[in-house]
Amino acid sequence: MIWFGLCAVDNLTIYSGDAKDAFVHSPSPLMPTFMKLDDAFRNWYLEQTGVLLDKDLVLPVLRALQGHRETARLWEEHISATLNDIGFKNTRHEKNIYTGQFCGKKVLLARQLNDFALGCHQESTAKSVYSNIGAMRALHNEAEAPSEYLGLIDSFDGYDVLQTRDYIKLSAESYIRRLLKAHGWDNPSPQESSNKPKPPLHKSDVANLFNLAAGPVENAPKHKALEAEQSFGYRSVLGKILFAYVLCRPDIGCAVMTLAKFSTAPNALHYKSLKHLAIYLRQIQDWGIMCWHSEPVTSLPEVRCVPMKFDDSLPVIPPPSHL
Amino acid sequence: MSPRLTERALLCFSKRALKCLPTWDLWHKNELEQLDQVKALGMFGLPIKLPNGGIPMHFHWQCRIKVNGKQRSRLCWDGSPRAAPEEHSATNAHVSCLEHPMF
Repeated sequence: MIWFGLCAVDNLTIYSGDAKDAFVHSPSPLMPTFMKLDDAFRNWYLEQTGVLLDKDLVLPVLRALQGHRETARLWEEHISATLNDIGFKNTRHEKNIYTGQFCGKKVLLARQLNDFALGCHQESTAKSVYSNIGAMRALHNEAEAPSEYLGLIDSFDGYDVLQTRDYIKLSAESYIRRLLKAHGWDNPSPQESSNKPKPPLHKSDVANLFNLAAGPVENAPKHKALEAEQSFGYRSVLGKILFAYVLCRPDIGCAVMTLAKFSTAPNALHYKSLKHLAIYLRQIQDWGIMCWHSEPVTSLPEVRCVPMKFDDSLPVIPPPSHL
Repeated sequence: MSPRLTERALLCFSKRALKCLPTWDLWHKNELEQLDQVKALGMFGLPIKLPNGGIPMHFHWQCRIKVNGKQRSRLCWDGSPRAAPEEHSATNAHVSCLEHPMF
C-alpha cells in the first residue's frame, strides 16, 4: 500500500504486467531430479512418436515446475537477477519492491510473484521495461517473449486500483462482492429501509456483545445447530472480512477485532453483528484508501471524489489544498 | 443436472472423478496442450533409466476451473513429503526475505 502512496506522491502512472509460465522459465533444481512416467504422459508420447515407453523409465527434469520445494526459491532468484540486470534495485526489507532509473527518470516496480506493477511517467517506459523483462527471460527456443504488458493497472495483489487525475484509490470492491455473493448477501433485502450506510457495529449492541452469556463452545452440538440456523460459519465469515480489513478497510478494524474476541463461543447476537458487518461492507463496497497526487496527472481521467460517511456528526476530510 | 453443474458439484477435481464426467474430453484436451507446451519449453530430457542416487518424483495433475470458466489441467510435481521424502530431506527451500543491515 505504501508503494502506491509513493507512486502517488511522485505522480507516477501505474502499468500492469505479467510474466507468463514463471516457474517453467526458472532454472532446474540443484539436485538432479527425475519424473516417473504416468499414463497420460505415456499415451501422449505414443501419439507423438509412436513409441510406448516402459513404466520404469524416468524423465530428467531440466527446468523448475510447480510442486517442487525449490521452485519458489529458484523463481525468486531468477527474477531478482533478471530485474537487477535490467537496472532495478530492490529495497532492503521488502524484496519485492524495486527502484530504477529509465531515460533519466525514476521508476518504481512492485512484484507479487509473477505479477508486476510499474510506476512511471510515460507508457512507453512501461512497455519498454516489460519488453526487456520478456527478452531477458525468453528461452532460446521461444519465439514469443514470456512477458505481457497489460496496460493501466486496475487490480493488484487483491486490491482494486482506480487511477485518476488527482488520486489513486485502493479498494477491496471485487473481493467484497465475491464474499457477499458466496453467502447470498449480494442483494439488499426488502427490510433495508435506507441506503445510508450504518456504522459497522450497532451502538446498542456493543455493550450486549460483551455482557450477554457466551454461546455454545465450538464443535458442541448446540454450536453446530446455531451455525446451521444462521447458515454461515462464524470463523469463516470473520476470516473473510478480516482479509478486507487487512487489505484497505481500516474503518472495520474495531468491529473485526471486537467480533474476533468471540470466535470460540459466539452467541446469536455475535452472529447477527457479524452479518451486519458484512451488510455494512455491501453498502459501501467501493470505500478504500485514497493516495493523493502531489500534482494533477493530466493523462488520467478526472473522477470527482465524493466523501461519504455514515455519521453526520463526523467531519469530512477534504482533499489536499493544492488540488 | 447439466454436465457443468455436475462438475462444479465435485468436492475435489481428481482425475478419477473427472474421467466419469461428460466434460472429460475438455480436461483431457487441456492435458495434451499442457504436455505440448512443456515439450516446447524443454522441460524434460529424453526418457532414461533412473541413475543411481537420482530422486524420482511423480506427476501430479492439478485440475481447476478458472475464473473465466475454462477447464485447466496443470502439470505439477507431487512434492509432498509422502511422495518424495528424499527430496524433502535434501533440498534447500530457503529464500532470504530480509537482509539484516551490517553495522
